Amino acid sequence: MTSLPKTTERKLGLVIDLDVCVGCHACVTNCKAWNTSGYGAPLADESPYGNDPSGVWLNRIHSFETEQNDMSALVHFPKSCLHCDDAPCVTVCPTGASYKRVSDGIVLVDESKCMGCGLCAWACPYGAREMDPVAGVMKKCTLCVDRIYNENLPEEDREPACVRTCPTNARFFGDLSDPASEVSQLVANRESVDLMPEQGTSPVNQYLLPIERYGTDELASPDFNLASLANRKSGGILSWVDNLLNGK
Amino acid sequence: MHPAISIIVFSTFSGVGFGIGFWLGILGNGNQSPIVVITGLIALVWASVGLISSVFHLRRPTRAIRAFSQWRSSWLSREGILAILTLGCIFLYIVIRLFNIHVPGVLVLTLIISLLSLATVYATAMIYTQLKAVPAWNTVLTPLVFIGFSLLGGGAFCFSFLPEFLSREFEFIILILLVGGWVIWILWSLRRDRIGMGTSSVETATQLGKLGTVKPFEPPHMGPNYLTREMGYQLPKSKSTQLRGLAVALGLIIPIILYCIVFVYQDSGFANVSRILLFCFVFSGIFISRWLFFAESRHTTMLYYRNEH
Repeated sequence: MTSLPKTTERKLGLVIDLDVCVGCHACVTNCKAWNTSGYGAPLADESPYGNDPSGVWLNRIHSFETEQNDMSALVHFPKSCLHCDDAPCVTVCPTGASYKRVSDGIVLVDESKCMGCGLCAWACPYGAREMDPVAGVMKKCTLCVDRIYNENLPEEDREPACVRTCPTNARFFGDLSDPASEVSQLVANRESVDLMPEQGTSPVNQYLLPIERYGTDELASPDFNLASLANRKSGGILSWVDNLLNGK
Repeated sequence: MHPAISIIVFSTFSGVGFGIGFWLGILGNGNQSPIVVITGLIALVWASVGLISSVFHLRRPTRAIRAFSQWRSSWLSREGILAILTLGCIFLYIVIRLFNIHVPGVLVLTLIISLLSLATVYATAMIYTQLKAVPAWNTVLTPLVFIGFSLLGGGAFCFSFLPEFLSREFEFIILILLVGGWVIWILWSLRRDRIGMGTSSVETATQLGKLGTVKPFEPPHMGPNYLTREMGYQLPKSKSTQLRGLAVALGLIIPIILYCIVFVYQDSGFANVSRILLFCFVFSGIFISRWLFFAESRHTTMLYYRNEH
């Protein structure tokens, strides 16, 4: 049934640290590699070596530029299915192919029921669902449902491919309904946000905003003293450089 | 949104078909002529062409039968069920009238046909109206546009091709539907221009607003993908204005002139040609307006891809 469960026993999801992500696309690549050979139909590519290559991806990285007081920043922004509690993609499905699992909250597509109408992709405000051009069924992030419970894999591999591969530890996987879990602790201790809260989707995945290190107001000020950044009290790489140059 | 021809044909043809169905239910019993049977058959044909066209939008049409299963949550599923029920009732009514079967409750059946026809068109509209991700569609005006144009399309068809069915006393209704239908569409279009992405923006999409103004810097891939092809359709403003003008000219202004000709030159050859042309123009106007309904509407996903406001 494409009616949503009132509650789910767990809320498995991702926490993505925008402060750490460097936009290397390793998660994108490993997602594609795992999911093209894992659960469901392979993720098709159209003319991969032609003039107009195009393909299905369950995880994509956008980059945004922010600007304030003539100070700009580049934020790499991985985006995949947010496994919303109030997922609009599930309720619009006419065939019963889309569903949200009561046991762990993962939103999945039963590819043997999908008729490829594409309405769920329209219903998702985030663009998390993509139609497979070859299989003719809707593809989406499964939270690597074929890894996380897979007892044939070593325990450290039982997490989504994107999390497993991230070289900067920008991605975390866990149960967001358990306040003691690592992901819940991250959410509690950092500034975490829902994407497009006004859409009323109640996303499970959380994004950790970039940490403000130096106030942009301070940096933009003409009186700002760059040397003060090397203050030994500030610690970190700058004081290390300072110590190095001072021969300490 | 990508204006897929299969969906535009689906909603316009089934709209006319169920519009004729509505008028069949209202006027059928008062008319003893066999024209009622022909009207019913024509309603079936229009609605069926629309429904068959919708199947061409599916990537796995052999699984379409499953689409009737999720009526509890899905408007698309409800639309399918209501459409089949309406077609069944119209078919039943045709059989009753064709063989002059005397059964009680025919009046109730015609009432049901009218109600079901309206409900089906409403369900069609709700497939789009329910999508918060497309703010231009997410308004009560959307079902009003669909129902208005369905009643107009069905009524205009009867006016043009089945004048015996739409008796003289009811011909004035066409004028009301013409003006009413297009006024609702103009209101919908003006709201679309104003609403933009609704309450969503690149700041709500990324939540990076505290870092200042946010703008997309790099898309995930250099080329287009399914999402940008499906939801990134862009219609230049100048073309939009031209097509809106064309839709109103073809669908409203010319039909009003033709309507006047029909009444001034009663029953002459000139009037009869004008009568037939009236539906052709009304329908082409509705068809363009439905194309614009998709082509002009924008999806929040594009906030991640390009500068959208």
